Amino acid sequence: MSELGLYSIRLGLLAAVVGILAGFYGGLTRRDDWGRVAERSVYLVFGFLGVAMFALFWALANNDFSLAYVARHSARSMELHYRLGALWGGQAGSLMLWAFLLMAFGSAGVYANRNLHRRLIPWVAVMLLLNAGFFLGLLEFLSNPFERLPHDQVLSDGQGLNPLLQHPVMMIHPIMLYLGFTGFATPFAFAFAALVTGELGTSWFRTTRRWSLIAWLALGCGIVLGGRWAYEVLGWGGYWAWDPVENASLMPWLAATAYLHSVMIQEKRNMLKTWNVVLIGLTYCMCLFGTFLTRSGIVQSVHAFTDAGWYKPIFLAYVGVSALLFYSAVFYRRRELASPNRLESVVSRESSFILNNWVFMVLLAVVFGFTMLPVFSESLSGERLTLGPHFFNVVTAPLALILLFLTGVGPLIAWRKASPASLRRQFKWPTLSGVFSTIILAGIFWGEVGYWALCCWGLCAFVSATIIQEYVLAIAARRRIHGESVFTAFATLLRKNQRRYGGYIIHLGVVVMLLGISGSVFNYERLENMVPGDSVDVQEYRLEYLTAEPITQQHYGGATARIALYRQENPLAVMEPQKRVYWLEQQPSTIPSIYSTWSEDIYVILNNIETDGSATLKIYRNPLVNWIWAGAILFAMGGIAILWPHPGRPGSEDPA
Amino acid sequence: MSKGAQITIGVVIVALLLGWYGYTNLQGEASFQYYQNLGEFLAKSSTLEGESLRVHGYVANDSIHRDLKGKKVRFVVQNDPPHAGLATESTLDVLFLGLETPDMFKDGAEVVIEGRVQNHQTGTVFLADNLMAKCPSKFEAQANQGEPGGNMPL
Repeated sequence: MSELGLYSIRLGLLAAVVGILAGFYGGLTRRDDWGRVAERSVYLVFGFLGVAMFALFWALANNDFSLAYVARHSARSMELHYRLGALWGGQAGSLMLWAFLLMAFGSAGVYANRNLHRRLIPWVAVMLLLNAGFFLGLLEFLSNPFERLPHDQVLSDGQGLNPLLQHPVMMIHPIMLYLGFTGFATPFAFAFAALVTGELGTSWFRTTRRWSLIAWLALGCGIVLGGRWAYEVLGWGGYWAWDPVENASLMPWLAATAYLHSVMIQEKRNMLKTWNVVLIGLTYCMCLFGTFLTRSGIVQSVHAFTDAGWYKPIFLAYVGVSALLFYSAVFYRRRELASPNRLESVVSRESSFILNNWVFMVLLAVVFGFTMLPVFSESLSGERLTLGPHFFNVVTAPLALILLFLTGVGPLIAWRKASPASLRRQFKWPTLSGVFSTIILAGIFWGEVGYWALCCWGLCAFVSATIIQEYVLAIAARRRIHGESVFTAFATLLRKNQRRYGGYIIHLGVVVMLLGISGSVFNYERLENMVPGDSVDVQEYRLEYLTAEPITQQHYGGATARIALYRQENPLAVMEPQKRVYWLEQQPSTIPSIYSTWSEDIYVILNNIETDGSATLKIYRNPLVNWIWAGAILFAMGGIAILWPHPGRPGSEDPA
Repeated sequence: MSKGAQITIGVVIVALLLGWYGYTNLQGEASFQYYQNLGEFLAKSSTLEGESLRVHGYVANDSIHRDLKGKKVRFVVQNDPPHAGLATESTLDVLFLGLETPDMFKDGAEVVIEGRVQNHQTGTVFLADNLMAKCPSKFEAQANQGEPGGNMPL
């Protein structure tokens, strides 16, 4: 079976090279037969990668420890789904998953547009296959998942997957994240093809936008799932630490969010064409750069101590060449891209979107600069400077609030030029809601929280009110005109104007997430060293340490602390945080116990059983964390509402 | 007023507000940290008193003492891993203000400590308010593959 994988990668690489040459030739000579060769090469490479994926899954499922990769990342004792998940537990496997998802998404994109954009297809194929070819080359020559161990070293059992990765979220999170990263290759390739061919009309970016949206949603969900995993597995009480690895996934998302907004201006007003291609290029380059950042270990991260000597120069060259190729094409077409229309008024939806783009760019620059500071400062002055999470929080918070404000303003303000009368009409209720919420919350929490939190809550109320107003007015209108029920009217809105009303749900999801994040202003933590019978108060909760028991599991040992949780003397739960040591991997791990409600989480970590038998416990009270996950679900639902196919209504799209 | 002027004024106001905000919020906070390994650090530790620092080193064998009452951990950091068998010339006494040491924290562990340095007559003590560790042994190569704590390897 593993030979199948080995040859699939080799043949895939061959097919990619053929496709690239055919695409170039077909594109240059405009010969459709060669274009078709390139197109089919895309499907073929996808097919070969699919076979290779299958072969590695097969080897993992059947414990083929003659393969170095399987021996290093899997073990007999692991459950089947984690054995399969080990495919993305190591470098070679994750590179293959990257290439596979890239081509899965790319093939779908090419197939869906094969008749619509005939002239673009050869160049799309070239770009996709260049990317896939790069990864296939890495797999073939530098990091082959089907490499066999020498005969005298074959093991009867593998070394096992890092236990921290043996978590249900880890079955989805990497796929979502890679789907996001690789998904942007398709719009990138279409943009590139449009630039090369000069067919810069309106149609290519409509296609591009839809494919970017899918990638953007997947990336967004992947980021949140990563936070969820960190929260449940890593046992440090939080979900986001501004670690370089986390930032690597956030940066392309920021660029893509800016793109998805500014592309609407192009659609409505035929402006910002250059800017939009610059943004889609930036998004994909950020994806590649993020991949590079995570894997190269160029920035010392608490988490990622990776060291792959060959990786740094090769991958950096890859990012550089991709960017150079793309932006040369942008430069080449700069005159064709110039927009005939100009901004008509500062008070207009266009300008609010442009402002949104600026803020996203500043945010991206800040995250990029802060993340790379150790590298830059070392090369400039020889001193490695780093910045802690506090720095990120302080700088990004006001930018996020500006964006939140614009989230409310954008959809209500008119295109071109908003009249004072329409502004008054549209903004009366949302503004009042925002102001009154701020006053009420200030009355309750004055002195406890800073004005940034109040500002955030006021803006959340403002934005929620704009969204509710939009829905209420539209539903009322449908009821009046068509006599529909509230529910039917709601469903019709979502169907007839997917992007607008789905977009509002996404916005609402973001608002809910921001509320959840803002709950951190009330975060409370304490460290206790307790003996059985000791009790500690955490605001209205009381935690009583009952006992500690040794763990006797097959794969790991350690201790479980049993803690009774009371709220005003009502028993709520027995919490059981664990300290584990995985035998096979010789790796300790801390499993927090979380008592989760809508208002707060009580999060307990067993840090250590001390030599005198006492337990060192860290107790956190994290308000509103569940809102973050709920907001993310809303976000995903909004995205699904936008992408939901409604047969027979292809032209129903109207930008929000 | 022209659109250009309106935009310029808006941008200037926002930039000023952000500048003021950043200035007031980041002053005196742990701003920039110098990231150094122990050797680099010790060469100029006398000049770095009060600075926010991030130092990389290895936990010396048998140096960890947990003070449960005072909620502190004392340990000694040296420049090279103890199991490397190199002669250690100079070491640093560290006082970690907490008990919540990471899982990987043990003799020989590779650590990054964040905090400030205090010079006394008796010597230099590093007051760490943050402590990160990675695993010391042969398993390191394995742990690298999975990057505990971040996203999956890409």
